[in-house]
Amino acid sequence: MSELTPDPTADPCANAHVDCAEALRHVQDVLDRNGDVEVLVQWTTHLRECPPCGEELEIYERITAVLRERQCCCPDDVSARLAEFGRRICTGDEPVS
Amino acid sequence: MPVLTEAPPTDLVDDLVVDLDAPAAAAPELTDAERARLFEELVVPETDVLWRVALSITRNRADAEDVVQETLLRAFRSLGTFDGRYPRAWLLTILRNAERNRHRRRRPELLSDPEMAEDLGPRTESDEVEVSAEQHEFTDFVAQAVEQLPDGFREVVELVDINGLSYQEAADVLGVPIGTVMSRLHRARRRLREALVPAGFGPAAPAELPATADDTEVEG
Repeated sequence: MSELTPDPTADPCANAHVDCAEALRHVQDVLDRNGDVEVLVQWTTHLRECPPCGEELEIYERITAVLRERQCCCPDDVSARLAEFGRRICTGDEPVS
Repeated sequence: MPVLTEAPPTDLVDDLVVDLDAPAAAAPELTDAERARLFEELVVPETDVLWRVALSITRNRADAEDVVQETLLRAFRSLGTFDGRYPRAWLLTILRNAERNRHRRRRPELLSDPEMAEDLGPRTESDEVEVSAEQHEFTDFVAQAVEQLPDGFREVVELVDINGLSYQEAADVLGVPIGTVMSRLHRARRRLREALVPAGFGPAAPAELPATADDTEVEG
């Protein structure tokens, strides 16, 4: 079969400007807003309009959302010790060389 | 006599020549007061970020604190040659050198730290409000999947996705090109995403992209 022959069953997003393979290749660029704005808009539009591709973006968004929440704070005691260490450097109480 | 461990760290030179555009000999000596003021202004506000980054790299609280202390010392010494632009990038480069140097003289007793299990374990109930059991499972699963990534992949995920560093900042810490950071990050997330499938958290991922040379490097 010629590659140019339209096959309505092959791509659920026949009306989109980019095909699924292209959009899926750039899911993480959309996730990170990484790249040229015009191209990003095309990929994003496809991902929003095509349910299977959109689901792929949602999975990555869910993963990165969970990861963001795992950022730990520097514990107070460590923070205090490092602040004290910095003060000692500035006052010359900590040998710097 | 600890001759080897006390050898002058040659990578100190890297800290001192970070700003290649600065006039080499014309830099005026800072007074103690100026140095202290610059330290307060440029270095101190980044201390917490430095600690989080150090923890991501060392995987050990005691080591992370050591690395940050060494970073603060080196930063203080190098303030006279720093132009004041992008202090975080400058400090992350210093941190990388400090960590590399520490690695060379690492003591075996510091290699494991039981506290890490607590650091990286699932959050407690009080951290969350009304989160579904499925979300709990998903969160725990992702956390475990991150732990199982090869170090080169895990590091970029921890630096960028968990600690919020930019690609460039992560590249500064790891001493690799920004493109390598992006490539590792994308492939690491892809692994996390694929790991979800057998656990029932998502449909099968679309076909994999061709492997890159960087994978080989990370996998060792």
